[in-house]
Amino acid sequence: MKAPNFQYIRAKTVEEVCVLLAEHEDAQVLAGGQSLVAAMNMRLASPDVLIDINHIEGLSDIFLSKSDTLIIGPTARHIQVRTSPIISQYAPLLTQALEYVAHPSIQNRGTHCGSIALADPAAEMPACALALGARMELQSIRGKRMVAAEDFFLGLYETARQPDELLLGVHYPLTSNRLFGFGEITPRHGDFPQVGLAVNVSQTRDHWEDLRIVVFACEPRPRLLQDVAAVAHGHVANSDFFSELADVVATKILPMDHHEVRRYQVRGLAQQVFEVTA
Amino acid sequence: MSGHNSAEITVTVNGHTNQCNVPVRLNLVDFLREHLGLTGTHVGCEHGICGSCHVQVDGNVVRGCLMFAVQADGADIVTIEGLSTSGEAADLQANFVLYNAMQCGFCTSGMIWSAYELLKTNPSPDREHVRIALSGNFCRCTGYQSIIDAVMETASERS
Repeated sequence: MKAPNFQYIRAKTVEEVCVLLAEHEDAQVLAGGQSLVAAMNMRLASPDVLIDINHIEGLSDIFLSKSDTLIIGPTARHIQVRTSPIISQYAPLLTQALEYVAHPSIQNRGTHCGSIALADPAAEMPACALALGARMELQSIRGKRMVAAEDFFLGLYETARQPDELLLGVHYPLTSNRLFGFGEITPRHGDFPQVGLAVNVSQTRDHWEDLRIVVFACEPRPRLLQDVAAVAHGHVANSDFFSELADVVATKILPMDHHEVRRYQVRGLAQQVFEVTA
Repeated sequence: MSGHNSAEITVTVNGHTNQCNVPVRLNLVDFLREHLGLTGTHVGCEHGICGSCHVQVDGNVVRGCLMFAVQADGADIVTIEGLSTSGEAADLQANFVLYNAMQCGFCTSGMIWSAYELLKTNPSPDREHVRIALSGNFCRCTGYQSIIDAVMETASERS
């Protein structure tokens, strides 16, 4: 089908976007449009106003801030993030996970911030943002605020972003001496996964510490599994431990459907992801 | 500030500059087909799944159904017609014919674009790389094997 009618506004500044979002109740920000335009074509979304932010200077930057943070701007495309040397140096989990994101022509236009703002439960980037402890920079005429990933993803396509706020950037802490793992189960490469896992852990000698495991796709939102770090305490990171940990992960998931199948899938996936993380 | 339901756009398509007034809800692929008569780009699913609407915008292959024509204002677009005329994919196209990498031909122009972009970034792919690069293109006739054969043959001839 074709998209319903709407008013198109090409914004020139961030301030203008914020004013427009405050003025128009049913406005949507158009960045990459790889989910939004599809939803409009299917008549699942019908915003009155589309605010195109692609022509605002500087918003596609990926850069290091003075406060040791890696910032991805709102129109930075997936392909830019995937091929960025500073991303692969400071947030390599994103580089790893982008191998699984959609198809090349979608990556050429889809944006990192768009994926975070949409919060599709099966999307890879929100899970990585949560695993890495990212913070979301939200801007509106009311001012600027930062929201931690733990408090940002609230439910199915539901985030802490208010309708008048623009996601102006995703801030990642610079990581070093961390190990990362990522995996998902999809019917076909690039499709939305049925279950997925992102792992961020530090290894001291043979032990895993500060273990962050995020499960996504089978639940309404990406979720950081609590208490798994305690399970890891005192264990040598080897195959026996990974097997035990995979059992724990499988018991902790809260699937939306096919409970036994998802547990079985997560258990196998977890062991596989832990092995490549180490 | 108010928005508009139609807009004046200037786009370069296959080297020719066009100035048109378009409804803002018009997809890029419909603009190319219906306003410019370039019907080599096909319209399949209209929600970014099938890949038959691939066109090149400012050097990158994108879904023509997931972009509005108004967003292409100022852009440099190449369609399958432009790619064919340039001869840059002539060997790839010849191998599609040689390997029977099509039956009905509906998906072919989108496939050519994906394969063309793959070979630009990875001149010596293995079959798995080709599969992944073509994963965003649906073909309901061939079963894909012959398409992968044609891309692999082109890669090996170019090396």
